[in-house]
Amino acid sequence: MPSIYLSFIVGFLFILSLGLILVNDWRWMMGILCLQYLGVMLLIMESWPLESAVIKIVAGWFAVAVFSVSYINMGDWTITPDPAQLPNVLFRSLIAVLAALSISSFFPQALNWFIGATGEQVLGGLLLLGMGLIHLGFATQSTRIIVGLLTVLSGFEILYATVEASVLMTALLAANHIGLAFLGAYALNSSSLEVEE
Amino acid sequence: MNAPMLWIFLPLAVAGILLILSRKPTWVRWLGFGSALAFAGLARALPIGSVITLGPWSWEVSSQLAFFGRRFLILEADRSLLVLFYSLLSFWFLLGIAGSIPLKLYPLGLVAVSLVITGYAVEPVFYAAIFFGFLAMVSVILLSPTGSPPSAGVMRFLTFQVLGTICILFAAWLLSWVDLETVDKTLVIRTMVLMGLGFSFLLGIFPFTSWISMLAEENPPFFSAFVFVLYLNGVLLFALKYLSQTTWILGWVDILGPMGTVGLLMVAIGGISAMFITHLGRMMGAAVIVELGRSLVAYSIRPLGFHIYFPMLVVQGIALGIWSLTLTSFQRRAGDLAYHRVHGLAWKSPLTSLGLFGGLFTIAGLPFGGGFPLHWSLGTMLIENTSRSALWLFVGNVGLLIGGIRTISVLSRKGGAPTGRGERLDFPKVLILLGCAGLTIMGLFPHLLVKWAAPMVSIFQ
Repeated sequence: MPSIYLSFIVGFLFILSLGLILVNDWRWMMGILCLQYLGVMLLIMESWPLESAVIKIVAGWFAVAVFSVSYINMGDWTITPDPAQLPNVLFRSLIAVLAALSISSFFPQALNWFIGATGEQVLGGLLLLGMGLIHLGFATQSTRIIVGLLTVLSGFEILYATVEASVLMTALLAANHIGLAFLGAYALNSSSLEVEE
Repeated sequence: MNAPMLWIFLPLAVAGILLILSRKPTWVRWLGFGSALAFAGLARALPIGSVITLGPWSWEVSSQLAFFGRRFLILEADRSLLVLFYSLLSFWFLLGIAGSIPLKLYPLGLVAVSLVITGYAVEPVFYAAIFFGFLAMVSVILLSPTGSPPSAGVMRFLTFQVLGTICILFAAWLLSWVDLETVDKTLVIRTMVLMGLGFSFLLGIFPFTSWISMLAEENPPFFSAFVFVLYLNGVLLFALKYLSQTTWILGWVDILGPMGTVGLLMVAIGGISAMFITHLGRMMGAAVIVELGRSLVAYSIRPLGFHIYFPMLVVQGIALGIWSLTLTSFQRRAGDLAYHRVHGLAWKSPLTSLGLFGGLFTIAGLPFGGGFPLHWSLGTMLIENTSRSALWLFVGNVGLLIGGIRTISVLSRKGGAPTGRGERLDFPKVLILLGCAGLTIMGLFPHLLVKWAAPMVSIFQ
């Protein structure tokens, strides 16, 4: 894929991960997560063939589906406390931009670590890792924490795909995404579960 | 038939059956206990890699299973570890039966142990980090009471486990870069820092200890203790295996020194915090931090420290078991384990209280308890290096002892004077008494325990 498209995908991933931190409606969040997994797959395709890279999007979308079904069961689409108030949005955006700046300053050094990776892959991976960590820092709700973890894992997988292409590792990492989504679903629906004894 | 099938996949299948049977609680409990005992018995009886003849039949339990280009390997020498983990599991299942612990313990307990064994058996060893990630997910379900969402401590635990997994996978990849002929020391140091960070996340090593106290305070004490025993010792075993496969690093970077220092720091932090804690659950958390610190110290004095670590694991498994069973009973009675809610409970339930005192004072290293001879030996080994190190170990023990004495004073406060009716001796109390007796026997005859643990030590020497 031409480098300009890859740079566009990296920028897109940054905006998406920022969107995950800011949105207040779970439908938006799930949609953004779907697009984020698409971006992850496109970056991984630089190192892996399509038939292997597609595992990432299948696992990711499966995770989103699991999450979404839980929200449909709950019937409540809003998040409390609401992060979409203006001071909140400004503050979170500022933190995200600062994180992106510090990652870009670290980027040339990181390029030396990931020899087989393209610059866009390294930048995309580091950005998602950083934004995921910021998401985790802000999150208090268990489901938001899970979304933060999924973002961190996605960033890690972009970087890790450039160095490891084992089938078992790919399957295990995919299972990790799905497992985390199931935990999120469990956390969402736990209050409606049957109490034993 | 092969060993990974027997001790990894078969327990998973049994766990599936237990989940299906969840409408029949008695079946689940006894089948869970029976199967854990059977797996321990099989590990004791079946040699791996040699032909077994039974009448006209003969077969061999092979040691490895290939899976997507990687393999799971359980050697003949590893049988002692299988016996240890499945025996501990069956003991905890028995405690679960006595304490009427929710049914999820049995299937998820089996899954947890099979994941620990998987983490130990998988080659290359760094794949274990992913399996411990799965174990963390299972632990989240175990720790969250049905009907309420996961607590903040549980979510922090999960977050740290995922971050730890990522660090370990990165570090393992960096390590593969190191050329053994022209070792780049900077790269080795960088790898070890990342590896250390990963294991610190996974084990709750200082400064990432907060989740241990949070789990112990916010979640059901029995499940918290179960996760502490199984998860932390499983990860410690993984660390031990990792270290034993990369011993060449020790020639380039001093890992053991910082490990011992961090261990002592944890012992001291746990001990000092135990003196000021006002919650019975958090007290258990402090004891776990101290035990974790001691394990690290024992690791750092390799290979002699291994002779302490494995017996300590057995003592810890029993002590935390009876302690958490008592806390479960107290929580049902008082609703909460904060000191002001449990005043005088020792008068109302003296036999049950024995579990708490037995467990706490064993881990604190009181003479005649199972922990005392082991802590004494560990201290002696440390004095041979520096007396200051042994002093920190002593501080940890004294802190826990003071915490224990404060707990006695709270539980025996006058407000809860005896009701006049004696406490009925039922199954949980019999188990608590047996546990206390077992810990005392281990304290009086420690050589039996050390001898029993010797095969495990030999694996890593």
